[in-house]
Amino acid sequence: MDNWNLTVVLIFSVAITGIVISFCVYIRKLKGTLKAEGEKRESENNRRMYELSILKEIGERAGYSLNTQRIADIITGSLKELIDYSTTSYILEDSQKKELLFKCEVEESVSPKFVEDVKSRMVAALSILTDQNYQERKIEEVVAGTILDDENNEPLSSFFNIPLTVGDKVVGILNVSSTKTGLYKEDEMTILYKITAQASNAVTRLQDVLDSEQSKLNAMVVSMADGVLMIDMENRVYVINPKVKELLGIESEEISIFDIIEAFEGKVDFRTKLEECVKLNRQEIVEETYLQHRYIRILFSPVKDKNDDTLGAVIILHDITHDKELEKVKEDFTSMMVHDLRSPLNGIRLIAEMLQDKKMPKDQFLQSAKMIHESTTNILELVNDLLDVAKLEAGKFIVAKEKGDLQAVIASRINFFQALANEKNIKLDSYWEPDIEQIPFDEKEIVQVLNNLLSNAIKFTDKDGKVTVQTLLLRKDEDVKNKADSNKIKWFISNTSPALMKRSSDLLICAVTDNGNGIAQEKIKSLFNKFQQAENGKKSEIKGTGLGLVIAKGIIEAHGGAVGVESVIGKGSTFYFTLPLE
Amino acid sequence: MANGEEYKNIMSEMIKKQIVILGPDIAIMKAKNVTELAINPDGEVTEINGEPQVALQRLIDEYVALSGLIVKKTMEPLLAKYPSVKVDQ
Repeated sequence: MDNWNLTVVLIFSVAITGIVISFCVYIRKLKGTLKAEGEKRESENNRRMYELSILKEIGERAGYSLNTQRIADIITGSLKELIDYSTTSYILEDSQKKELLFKCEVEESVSPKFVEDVKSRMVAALSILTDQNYQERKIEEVVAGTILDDENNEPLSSFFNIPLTVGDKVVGILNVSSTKTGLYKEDEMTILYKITAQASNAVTRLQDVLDSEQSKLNAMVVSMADGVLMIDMENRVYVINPKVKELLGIESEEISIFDIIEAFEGKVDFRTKLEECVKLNRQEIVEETYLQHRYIRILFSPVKDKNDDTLGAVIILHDITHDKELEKVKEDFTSMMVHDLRSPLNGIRLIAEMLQDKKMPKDQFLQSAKMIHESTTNILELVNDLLDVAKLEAGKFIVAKEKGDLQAVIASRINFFQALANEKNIKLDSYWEPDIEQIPFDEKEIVQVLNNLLSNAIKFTDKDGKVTVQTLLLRKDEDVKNKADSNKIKWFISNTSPALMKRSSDLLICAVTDNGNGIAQEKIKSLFNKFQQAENGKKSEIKGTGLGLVIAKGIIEAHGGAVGVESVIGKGSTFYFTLPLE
Repeated sequence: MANGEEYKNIMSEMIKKQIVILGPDIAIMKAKNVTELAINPDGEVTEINGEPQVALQRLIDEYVALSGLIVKKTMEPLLAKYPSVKVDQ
């Protein structure tokens, strides 16, 4: 029994001891596991803290400038806390200067060859990423930190590159290198890629916000008729609209200040003007320069922020070609008018001198008197035309509208011009749509319009031709062509004739159609322009100031109507005017 | 339909390109995470154990996860060279 008891106690003791030992082993193992997990968690926390501190630092130091160089400086400058290395470097592309910036921070002394090796590997990586050849590209190089050692033969043994992106564009590469072989573990490298990606994302988000805001500004700048260009303090093209490219004849997408200087070469010292504008803080103006077959006026103006710090300069390119042309036409117009007045006045003066000869035969005296009458009539006609145009332009031309019989007025004008038409055997007739009621108009002025249109039509129609005056009532939504067809009218007016499109009310249309030579489309738009019409008049074989159509347009517009011309070369022309029914 | 050799070639070229872009250590380490692939120290794919299409996709995913979609762009010329090889966009 004692033995049995002893055995039981022994077994029990062994079991207890076993349990205690197992428990201790378990506790120790658990402690180990917990310690490893704790260390892992601590390491993870450290990395997370590092990530956060880097992102915070980027936010604080880089601010909202989106300066990728500052971001690269922050990341490469803070790696000591995380990883062992001989050098950290970055390479960035400056698309404005069309060159690369390579910066290398040397932590442990290495040879110049080591740095050169790092640089060439980064250039190779950037070339593949951007699909560009950077081998020939100028590289600005900055090497800082520990002094390079020519005697050090340790080669580049470990390195990794991290692409630096903003949006979907590669802007540069970061590099971590060491003389030690196989130094970097996968998770160490991965964490740096992750941090860089987060920094890139933060910058991209900020860039997106700025792009969104800037797109509104850009839309405005793009739609401007003038060329607008802004150059910042680092001579980068900050803003440029398509008009600048058009005026300077530049076709490339990416434009640097060098492209602009080159475009102005030999014409404007762009660089000096820009420098003077920014340094002297004043506007610089180039009144006129001839580029790409155009005259351009250039204004340089400094751009400042709210603290009065200069941000750069804005340059406005204003195309003054049309102004120059107009100026010339105005000068020609004045010369022509002076000439047209001087010629008959000279004639009158000469005739007056001749009339002083009391022995002048009677028939010659009468001939002289007739010539004075013709000359003074011409002068009076010219002066009247000029006065009418002056009144129209000053808005002082007033029409006295009264309900009247336009059909009778037209018939009277046809009758008046019949003799002139007969001289050239021109058939002159008219059509009046039945049932048109009387409308308000200024008879005296409409007579002047009809006189002008009919005299022009007869002048510009060859012998045996035809001139017709046709009048229709046109309802607001009525099809012009259908209406003309139903009245068996043949003219050159269509549904797309500008004066008839988008009619807001019913109106009367009166058209004078001839079967003359027609007018080229490019000349039609100048028919109602005072200066250009005078210019055409000067070139024409047919005498006159050419202001008749300009005056007719003014008279009709004063009635609330519109004038228009449709013409087909070799077939003829239709000059028409509309009048409102009320 | 691409054969196994074509997959080996395209993946080898892909890894070598990433060696230039990212550096040899990280490029090969990431490639080795694709368990279907056997890779020599030069980045050459010597064997594919499994579905080549799956291995290729996983290889691309490894690099994209590391350095973003920009790396995928550099793979486009390679994929154009092997029109029979298809990957997810």
